[in-house]
Amino acid sequence: MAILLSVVLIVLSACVVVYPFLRRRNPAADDGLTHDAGATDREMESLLEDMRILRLDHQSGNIPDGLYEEQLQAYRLQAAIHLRRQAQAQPGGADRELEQEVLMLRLSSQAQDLVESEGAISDSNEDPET
Amino acid sequence: MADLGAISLWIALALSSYAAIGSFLGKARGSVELVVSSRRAAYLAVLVLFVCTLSLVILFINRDFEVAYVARHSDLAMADRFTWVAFYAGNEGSLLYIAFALAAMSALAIWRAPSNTLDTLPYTTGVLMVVLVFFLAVTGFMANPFDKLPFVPPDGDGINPLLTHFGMFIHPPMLMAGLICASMPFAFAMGSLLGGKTGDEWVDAGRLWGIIAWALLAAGLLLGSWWAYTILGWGGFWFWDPVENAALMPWLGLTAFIHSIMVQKRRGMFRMWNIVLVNVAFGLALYGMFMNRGGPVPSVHSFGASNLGWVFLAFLAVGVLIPFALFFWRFPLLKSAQTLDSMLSREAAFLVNNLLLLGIAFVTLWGSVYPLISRLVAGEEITIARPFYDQVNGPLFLALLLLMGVGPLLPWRRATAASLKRALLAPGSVALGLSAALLVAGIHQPYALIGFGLGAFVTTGIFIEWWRGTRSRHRSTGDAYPIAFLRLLAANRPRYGGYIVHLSVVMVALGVVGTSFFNEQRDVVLGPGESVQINDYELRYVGTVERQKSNRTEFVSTVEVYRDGKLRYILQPQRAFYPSFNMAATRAAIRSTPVEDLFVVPSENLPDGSVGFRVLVNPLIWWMWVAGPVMILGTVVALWPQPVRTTAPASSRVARTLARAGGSTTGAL
Repeated sequence: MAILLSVVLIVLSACVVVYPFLRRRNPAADDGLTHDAGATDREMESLLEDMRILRLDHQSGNIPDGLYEEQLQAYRLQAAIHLRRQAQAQPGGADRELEQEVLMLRLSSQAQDLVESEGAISDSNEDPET
Repeated sequence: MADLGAISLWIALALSSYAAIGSFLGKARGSVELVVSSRRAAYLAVLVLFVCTLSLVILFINRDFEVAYVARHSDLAMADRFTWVAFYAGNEGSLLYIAFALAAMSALAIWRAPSNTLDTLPYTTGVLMVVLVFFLAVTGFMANPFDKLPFVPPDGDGINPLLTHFGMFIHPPMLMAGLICASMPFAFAMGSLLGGKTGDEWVDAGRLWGIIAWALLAAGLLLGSWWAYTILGWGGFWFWDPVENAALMPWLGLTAFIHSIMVQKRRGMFRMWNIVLVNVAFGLALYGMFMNRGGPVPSVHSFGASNLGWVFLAFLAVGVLIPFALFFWRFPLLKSAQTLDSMLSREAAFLVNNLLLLGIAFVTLWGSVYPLISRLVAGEEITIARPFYDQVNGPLFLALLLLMGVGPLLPWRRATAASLKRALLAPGSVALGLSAALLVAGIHQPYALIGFGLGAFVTTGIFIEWWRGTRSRHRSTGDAYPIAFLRLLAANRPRYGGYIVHLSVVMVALGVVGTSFFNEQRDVVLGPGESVQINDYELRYVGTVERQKSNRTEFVSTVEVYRDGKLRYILQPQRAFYPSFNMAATRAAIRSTPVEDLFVVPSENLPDGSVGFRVLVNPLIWWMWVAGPVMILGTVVALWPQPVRTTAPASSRVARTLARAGGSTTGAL
């Protein structure tokens, strides 16, 4: 039994290692060398989260105006790079481009929208009691 | 089953070797197929090592004493629940566990790597696989847990009695996993250097894995302290033992790293410094492995002699020299985009925090290696004891506590004197007020007063920030205060999770200050019916019952505890003798409250029926053990991922988003 299982493991290992060399199409496509849409969405959400936190920090007085603008622009640039990479990896016609445009717009607006609803945090900084 | 385990171990070694070579070679030659194949080999190594690990577990469950490792670390009397502990009771099993944990974490890190690290991911994979190859090679060639005996003994030697404790189910695996997890941020940094991507691409992955490694080590250290407190019988929790220090030092290095990496993320600064820090943390983790598994010094934590010291030392040398050589190679490219604007800023606070942490790590390292150096140079081993560490590290820890309070209140880039005054006024007043009150109450130890004051300073600063944020949310959204507080935490999880972790550090500080300056200890021999007084407790020894177990003789003493003349509770400390190990193990009886612990442990059972007891009153130590779950909570909050929102059809979102944004930012490209 142990020998049989060992043989199975050896054969499985050999198959897994050799398989990418036998495939005709680009093996990178489904192996993490290019990220799938889900992964890109996660990273875009993570960027949105970073922008939102940046805004909160700015509103609570932890980040001065100049640095805030710098950072926000850097995050926008990162988002744009993500979208370009996604577009290059998965060309999908007009609907895809539309989706990307929507994502870009979300980036520019969502951080602001989300924080506006939490905006009163900045009030605390100006509160004479505090 | 031993054959399956041994064969799967060799297959895992072959797979990881292939993955290491293939990743580097594939990237260098531009062969996508080779890179992909190597990556799949790295994934498959996890499955193969799982089979290997399971084989050893089954061998233990079956008590297959033909396997030398099983015979050395279990016997027929061992309860099945200790199988997990017996698994890593010796070097062979520990190394297999480390290899499995490393393979699993590596696969996860590679699979979930951010897309901006994809270009350098083959190098990262290669670095991780080189580390895995080392551990698998040592396990296979020098400490193989599947080696067989030439005969089958009727029974095994049994498990080390010190390991039969609840803490041992979690403490060693946590520490080993934490030490090896330091390879993850290190590998991302090295991948970045090797690939010439010397910017901030690796920061998110490095930070995430740095925090995971830090949390694993912190939980392991706290559990280890708790284990030492309850089972080693001396009433303390930290001895500055070389093996304890070996786990503390990488934790200090990682603490510095996870703070410093935030500066790189936020400001694009400290690029060189972060590479140095991650190298230092990895080097210290390898040193921890060397001390733990190489066995250069005897320790209660080593659980057996080892002849692997030179191998670990050689790998430590390689693991330190090559990364620093890489660092110097890429040095010109590592210049930060920004410079420090002011010493009165959060960046500067992080830098000082880093220097203090590294200072403590260096002092601890010096104290740990001094016995080795003295043995090599003077032929005489000179041990550095606790007073050295207390005198040097104590003030450094207090300075760190001060910075922990000030740092989060400072803004990025530059603080003005007015904003600093406003931020520090309330916490500073509370700290000074508490210290003054304690002074009036009769506490005159300066370090204790400073320690309590700084604890109050940090706590007040955190609660004020929480209160302001919660009140603002309550006013703006109408949420009830508890809901507003939870939503505040959710809005900035890294920040507020970090605050929770800071609170747990204050709890640890409370315990350390309480036990260091205010504990009471009595060592007494009591006959049945005799009593001893300690503080306002009166302890009356009733008697001892002897119980024969299959592998030990237990002596269970009964002690009645009176306070204000009334019987409050009964404690039953134990002492057991294990003939096969010729070893006695104790189990303290502890009555624990947030104010103080009453700790009773029998040190000796005398023939006339009297018993030698060590009795301690340890103020505030309860807070140390509560700090563990609080710290885990804080880490989970800080790392909790943002849920991915489901994507609505484009047509409906276009209208909504355009309405909200009123413009496009595609110009950013």
